[in-house]
Amino acid sequence: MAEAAVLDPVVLKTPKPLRRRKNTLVVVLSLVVLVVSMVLAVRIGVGASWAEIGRAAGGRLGLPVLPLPRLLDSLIWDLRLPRVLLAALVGAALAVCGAVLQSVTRNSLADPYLLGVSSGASTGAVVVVVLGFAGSQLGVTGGALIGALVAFGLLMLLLRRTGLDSSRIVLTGVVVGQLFAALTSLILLSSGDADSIRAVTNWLLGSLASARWTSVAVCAAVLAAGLLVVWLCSAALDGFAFGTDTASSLGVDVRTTRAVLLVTTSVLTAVAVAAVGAVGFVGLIVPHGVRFLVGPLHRKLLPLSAVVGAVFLVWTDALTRVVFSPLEVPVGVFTALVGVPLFLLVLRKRGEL
Amino acid sequence: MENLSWGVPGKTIVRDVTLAVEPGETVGLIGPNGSGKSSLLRCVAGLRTPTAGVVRYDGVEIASWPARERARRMAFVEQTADTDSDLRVSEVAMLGRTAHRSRWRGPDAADHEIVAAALERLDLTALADRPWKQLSGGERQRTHLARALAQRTAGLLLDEPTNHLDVRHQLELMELVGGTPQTVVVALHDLALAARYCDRLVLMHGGTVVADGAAADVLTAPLLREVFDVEAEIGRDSLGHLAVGYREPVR
Repeated sequence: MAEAAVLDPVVLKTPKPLRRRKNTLVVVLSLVVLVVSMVLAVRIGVGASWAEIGRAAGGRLGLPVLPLPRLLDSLIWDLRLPRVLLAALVGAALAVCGAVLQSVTRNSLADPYLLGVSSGASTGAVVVVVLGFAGSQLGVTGGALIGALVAFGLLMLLLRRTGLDSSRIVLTGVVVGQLFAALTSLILLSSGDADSIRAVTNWLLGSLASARWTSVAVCAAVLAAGLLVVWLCSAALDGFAFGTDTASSLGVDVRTTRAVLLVTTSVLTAVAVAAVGAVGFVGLIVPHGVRFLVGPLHRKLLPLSAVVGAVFLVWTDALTRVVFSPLEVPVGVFTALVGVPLFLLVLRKRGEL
Repeated sequence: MENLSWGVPGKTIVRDVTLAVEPGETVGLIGPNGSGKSSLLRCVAGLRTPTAGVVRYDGVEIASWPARERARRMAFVEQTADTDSDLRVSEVAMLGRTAHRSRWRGPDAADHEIVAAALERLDLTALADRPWKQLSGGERQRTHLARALAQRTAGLLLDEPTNHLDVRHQLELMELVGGTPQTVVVALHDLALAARYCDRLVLMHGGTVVADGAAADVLTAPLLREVFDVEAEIGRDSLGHLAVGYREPVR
């Protein structure tokens, strides 16, 4: 491209369709990888053959296939499939939030939990567990969602009169997070017994074991809406690269865009955390890895982060199930164990380590 | 610009400035550090809301425009705008098309042509694919200017654009700035460069305009003594350009 560009401005145009085709190829390829990963992940750990999975799917779709034994059918359909789908949705949501927040705050260490929303979710979950409503899984999820939204409300209240300046966002998020983390510890230590502490710790680390179709549906709807909103802001996010003044002079309404992006990422994080707990690391490393692959422009970065985040969490969850079987270890424990070496590899390739 | 003032709490940085810039004019903004040049430029660019006074563009108050409208009329280049991001030169220049593009689609063929032309004008075509981190200070400054040109605005506001440039690129850039049909307001430290390429000089001191007019009327020994606290001699170099020589500062 560099050589071609020197010759003649007309030659400049030729690489463009090529580049576009390459982009399409990357998108198609990554989607294929995602679908294959999900199918494989459904199979891993169930001990079902391909034919049996085919029969499970066929039966549901009303195809004339030999019905599966009820137990196996229920295992695949009610437990495994929602779990894999939820892993994909949550992975995508966290990765996209991380990518957006890293650009909004111009801080490469930013991740979805920076805003304190997840700490609010844990407080909500702890309250539910300690009060003894934890019997139904929906109770914990509902409590976490309420806690996350309260933390989000507090964050916005504190940021209301500021210019939504990046360092203010980071500081306020940390303050809100610390407040709710302290509340969580306080409640847990003052009125929690050993069982509830164990239950909460498991939940805090993030576990997909409780995945049900309702959470899948809620996450899918919120993710679709959130992705569209942030994708429409991708040009503005690119503009943030050189700071507020340059962004504004490029025609980006900095305040409004930041507010829209903060609300969107907070809601996405809240729903993801409420569904599965605070799965760490995905939102931090996936955007960095994807930037390394396709560059920093958000039109490509955001969709691809979503797909890579989804694949990453689907695989990590599948691995967690196999490696620790029959123990149910929170996937959040494993994301860092898998993520750290991958991340170091990316840094080394980039020559930054 | 009428009776424009701007300040931070407890300090007024731009005081009661009134300036009119004619279309196509190149106005050089000069003055010592802290005299309010950058703040004034930011007010004119619509990036700061003046505490008093208004900025008008073709008779319309710019505060009434949304950011997008503003960015199609005026481009602004900051003194130092850096990034950690791995953007390439052509991608930075493409940022200039932000206000011209729909949110729904990426850059089209016309955008690519405009960016290619802007890079060509700043001698950056060969560097189009170079990542930001590998650029020298001067190359970064030129990339920002290419981005501003890609905005295709009638107005161009530049805050010390020659800062990191070597002599050749300083001259080339000022040729370009002085020669463009765009209306330019440029803050400069190099008085001789300002005198040579600007149609008009505005001298600022302590947030106010102390002189406004042709270079020969603004760059006078008494004014420079008053504003910059230097003993200067103004003459012509052997090529006939205005030159400023300074004596040792007296302590």
